[in-house]
Amino acid sequence: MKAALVVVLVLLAGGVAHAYPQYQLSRDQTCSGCHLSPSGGGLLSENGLATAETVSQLGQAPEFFYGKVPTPDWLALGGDIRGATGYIQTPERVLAAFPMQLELYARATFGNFAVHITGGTRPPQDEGSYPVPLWTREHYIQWQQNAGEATGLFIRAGRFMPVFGLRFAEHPMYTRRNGGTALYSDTYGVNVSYIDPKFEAHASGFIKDPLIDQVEARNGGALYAEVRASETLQIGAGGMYEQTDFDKKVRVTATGKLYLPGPDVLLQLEAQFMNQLVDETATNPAGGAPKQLIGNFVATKMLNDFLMLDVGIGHFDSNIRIKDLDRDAIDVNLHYFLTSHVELLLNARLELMAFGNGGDPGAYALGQLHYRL
Amino acid sequence: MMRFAFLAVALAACGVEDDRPPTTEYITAAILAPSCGNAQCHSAFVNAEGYTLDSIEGVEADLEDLTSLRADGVVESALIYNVLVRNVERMPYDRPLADVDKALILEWVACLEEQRSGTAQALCNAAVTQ
Repeated sequence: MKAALVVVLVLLAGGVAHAYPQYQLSRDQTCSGCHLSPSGGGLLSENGLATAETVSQLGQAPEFFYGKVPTPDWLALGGDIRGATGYIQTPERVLAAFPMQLELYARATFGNFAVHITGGTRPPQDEGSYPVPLWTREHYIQWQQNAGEATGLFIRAGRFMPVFGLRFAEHPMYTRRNGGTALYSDTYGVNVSYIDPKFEAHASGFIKDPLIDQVEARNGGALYAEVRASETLQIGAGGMYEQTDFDKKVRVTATGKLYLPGPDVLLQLEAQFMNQLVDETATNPAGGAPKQLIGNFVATKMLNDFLMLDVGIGHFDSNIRIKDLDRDAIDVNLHYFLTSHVELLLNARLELMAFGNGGDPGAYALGQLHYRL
Repeated sequence: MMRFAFLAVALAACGVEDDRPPTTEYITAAILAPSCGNAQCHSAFVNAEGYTLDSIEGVEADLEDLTSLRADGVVESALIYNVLVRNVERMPYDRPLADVDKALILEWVACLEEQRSGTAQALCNAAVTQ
């Protein structure tokens, strides 16, 4: 391989960062403790805004536009802007710069009901019916049992990501990319969640997007539950069924979180097993049933009030029966929360194929700038 | 962490040689869709450069362009060129393909070529005819 070093600009390379699951147990018991959505991500609650102010070097008013744009009590607004630049080796070596996310959130709450919309940029479709770089990734109607609270029963109908697994923010992680919740695989469905400080359970049913071409066009359902044995220990389990025009996937997951208050370290583990059943056809009479192992383990340490370090390993085997199809990754993320709204982030990864025997290694080291409106 | 790493090593050591079918259906489901059909790339969502590689329909629509060989035997297909041949192995640009997956793609392309020339022992795609 002749390595090259070039500078490229990848327009709308895409990326949506969600919540910080590192804060669950270490700062609050549930995702909904800091977010308005029962599955986390997006708009922050009052408690989430307070956390954003506390976990930052310079503080600043954490509200939408620093509180200078007053909104009525029933309306919550927000947004995220992210861009990244750095080194990528796949195995060609390139310097890349790309916008990741430009999204605005709006949520109108009327008693126990709420309407949520996430709108922003997306990669436009080449030679297709969707040439514009704008869309609404999420839009749904929600009813919740306890208006304004983080616990109780939540029912949502509309477009959103099925709730499954630990929901790491970094979408290249194996349990995101290959774990049933890949980037932009949001689709229409119904979700029922029950959240309690001691446990939570989520049931999602989803269908192929009938309006636009989507990522992972599938019908299916997902169940996921977490039990918090104590304020510092949580275990979870779930299952997901997906059906496309040419295969079916059945996956089960086991998750665990352990917070060590002394050193202020959170350990997170997710391990999935997935059985993919490729449809039998006249020219593929044997079908196919690759069985996959997908896992991530991440240790997170708050170095001080504004620096957070993640160190993790990942394992993905796309067919455990076939030799040299496994890959392993070491991930390091350093988050620097400058203000309540500005985050600088370093994402680095080294990926080996079959411990060096299965192909060229991959790597990246990206600096990321995140501004929360 | 050590137990996790040990499990990974043990399972990798259990693997057998590749006996997966080099058919359009299997290649699409097991390699192209998960490796090339991501959100920013050759998914139906983006259809980058006009290629949709996350469905059988999408792959078959461009099968000739993706997999055909020139008369002089030099590879000309976009898929082979971008993934396997050119010196800077660019695609997938977010993470490398495993060597055994590349080998299975080559086997598939060879099978399709045999099918086109009428010498194939088995069909790799129902839509390809001599």
